[in-house]
Amino acid sequence: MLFNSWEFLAFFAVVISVSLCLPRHGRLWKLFIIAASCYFYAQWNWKYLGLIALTAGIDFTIARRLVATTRPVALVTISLACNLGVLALFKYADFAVTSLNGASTLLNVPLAIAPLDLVLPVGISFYTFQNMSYTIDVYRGQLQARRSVLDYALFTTFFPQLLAGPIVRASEFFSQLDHPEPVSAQEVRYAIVLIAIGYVKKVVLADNLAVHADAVFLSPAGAGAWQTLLSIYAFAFQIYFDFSGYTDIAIGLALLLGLRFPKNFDYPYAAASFQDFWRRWHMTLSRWLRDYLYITLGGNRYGPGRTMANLMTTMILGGLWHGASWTFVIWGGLHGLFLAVERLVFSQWRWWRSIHWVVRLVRTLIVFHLVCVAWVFFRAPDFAAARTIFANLRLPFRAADLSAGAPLASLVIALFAAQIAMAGKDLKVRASAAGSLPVGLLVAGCGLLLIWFTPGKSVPFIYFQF
Amino acid sequence: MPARPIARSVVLVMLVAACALLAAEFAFRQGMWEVFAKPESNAGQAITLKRALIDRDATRVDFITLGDSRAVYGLDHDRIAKSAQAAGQVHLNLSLPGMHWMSTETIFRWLQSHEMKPKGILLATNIANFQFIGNGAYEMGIAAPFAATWDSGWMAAGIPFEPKQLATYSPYSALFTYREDVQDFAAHPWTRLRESARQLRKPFPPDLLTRSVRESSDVCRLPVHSLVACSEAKPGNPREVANVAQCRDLRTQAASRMDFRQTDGKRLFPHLEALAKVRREQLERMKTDRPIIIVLTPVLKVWRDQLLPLGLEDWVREVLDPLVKRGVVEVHDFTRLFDDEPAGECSAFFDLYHQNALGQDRLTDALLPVLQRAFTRPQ
Repeated sequence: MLFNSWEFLAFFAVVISVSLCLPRHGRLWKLFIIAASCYFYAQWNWKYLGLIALTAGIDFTIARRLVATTRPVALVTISLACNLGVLALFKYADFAVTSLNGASTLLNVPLAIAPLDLVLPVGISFYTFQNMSYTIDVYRGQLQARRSVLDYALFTTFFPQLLAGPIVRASEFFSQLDHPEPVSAQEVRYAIVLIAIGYVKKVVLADNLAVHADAVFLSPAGAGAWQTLLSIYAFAFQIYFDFSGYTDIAIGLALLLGLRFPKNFDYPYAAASFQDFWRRWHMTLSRWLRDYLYITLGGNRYGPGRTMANLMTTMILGGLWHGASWTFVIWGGLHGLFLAVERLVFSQWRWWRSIHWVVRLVRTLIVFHLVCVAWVFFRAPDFAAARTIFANLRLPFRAADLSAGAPLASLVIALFAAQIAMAGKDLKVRASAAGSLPVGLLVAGCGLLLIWFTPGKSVPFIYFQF
Repeated sequence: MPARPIARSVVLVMLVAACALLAAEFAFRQGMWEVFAKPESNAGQAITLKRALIDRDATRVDFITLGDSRAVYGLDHDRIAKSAQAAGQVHLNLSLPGMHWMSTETIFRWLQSHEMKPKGILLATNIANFQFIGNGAYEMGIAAPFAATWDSGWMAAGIPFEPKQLATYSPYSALFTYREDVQDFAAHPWTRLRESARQLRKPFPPDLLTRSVRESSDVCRLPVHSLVACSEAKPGNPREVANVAQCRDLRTQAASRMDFRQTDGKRLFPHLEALAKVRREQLERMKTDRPIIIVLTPVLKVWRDQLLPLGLEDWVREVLDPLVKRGVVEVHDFTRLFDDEPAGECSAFFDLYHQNALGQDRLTDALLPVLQRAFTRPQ
């Protein structure tokens, strides 16, 4: 049951109606939302509900024991091992097997280990990270272990963010359960605006851009230089609108159910540095990696060399989090490299950090294009395809090819300009503050866009596969 | 915030949105978008036809031709119009590619409501058009410009609803009908605005409603006697590439060939009785002063032998016979007109569906005596 399906809209209509009739954040409400979330997940595969229950059960129990134990390190290690073990088994086992087989062939001692071919549970990377953050926070003493199993089950299964985030911290979630703040009329309007714009981002923009991106990424051979370049841009915006659309909807749905989730995207292509980019792109993953990996590794506390090594490690693991493939490792590695080199450049040439708009624009363009280079590895099915795509860019850029792609080129330029123009502004907040009439008109406008520009083929959310 | 105010906020916003969408729906039903429609789209072609009818100096229409692309290419509309003129009658060609039963009736209703009541109708169709209730959602594009503002409910019967296909929502909302045109406008806004402005300034060519469309090529280089052979043929030019693609498409359809014959007094498909009833009722509704002249246009043998449902021709006769007996229609069956063509039937078609100039001349020759009788028949 995807957010962009009639089934989901009917499901949510029932959930919100019943939810409004129950005492908010009361026992019955929690039970109902957990049941609804399980139903939502079971629409994909009910058997994997057991996996969620298992990992959540382990983390809940360990966190409770952490309070009284004399060996907290051992307990938290068990928790991490369980979470990472499940992740490794379902997500990385076959990757390890094929890599091992490939390496052994290269070394002339061929192995033929059979892959496990397990079905990847949807949302596993998201809920595993969320569970891990809970036990780590309890271990660090930053959070009290939860007494109510119901609360923890709700935290783990809450359907708006179960499949693809945002990755919410346990402290953010539980504090809202403990001290519920009333949702204002303006917040309700904000939630509706988020949901409406989220659908437009996903269905109107991402799904239509996917057609152009797929045309080249799925069969790059024979594509012209302009077509290849435009398809890379198309994918850059497709993945942004796909994922930020999803999180907008998730945040809006959660708000209507009375829970406030953190922002996940903030016009990332307006970033004038890579550090800035990662403060704007998938913000809840970035802060997770920063707080639980980068800082744990030592962050920038042990000199420039170690800092760069930490950055590389964090970004490579971040890349691997996205998918079990060497292309994701390269994607993460490239971002690690960009961040490391940027630190070096900023420390050597201070004028490059200037806030003059021309310098900023040049930096923004450079960052955007390097991000696009990394996206090629992210989207390409394998290295051969990535190589062909880069080779296509060495072909002559013919004017005739550009004229065929003129509407797409105009759209890409408009979208990029919009990112820069909108950075720092939150029109969604402004719109919701303006009252029911403007919000209603905005929703109608989004409805018209959905009616007119929904493509024939529905495309699943990209981040569901992670 | 208690539950009730949350619900109130949601309802209020949704109410405003619903009102705005309803206003947009009304504007589209009133034809607001017509000026921006892509001229080549289904809606664009229908709008051109409608505007040509409105812009004519006189409202007098005695005879009209309705039909799909096979009627567009299959008849020499210019000769038919001249023949009518010689008999003191006004004949207009209102056939459009993609036109099917529902759009045919919509255009007829529109003429009636605009004081253009024809004395007679020439309905050029073919046996294949009888087997389906409609011609797919895109037929709404042809029908919508002619539909009365809130009168599209009955059209839904011709378009089976499929929740995942947005085009099938078009009988219920005009906002869906013009999707193709809005998308085209978004992709090429300046071109469309320029063209729309030019179209508004330019008068329609006087022969737009009597003009013939002629294609000179034929399909004799392809083995059109067999869908298998034709779909595997090597095309020599772009037209043949398209023709071979048609063969492949038809070959796929032929794999699920239906059987309309009766076995032990029963048919395999019970819905055919209901379909026959719908067809007869529709033709009854379109009756004018004279019987509707139904022309069953020629069909290549390969369609009849390998693709169309078994027993379709007999079933079509069953549908029409009661109407013939009651004087509602007169049927002129040219389905097999080119079976014995000296140069082969392939010489009369430019693709698997449509006749070329030779086929057009032959069919018009065969039909003109019938039409001349109709043009000169006293009311």
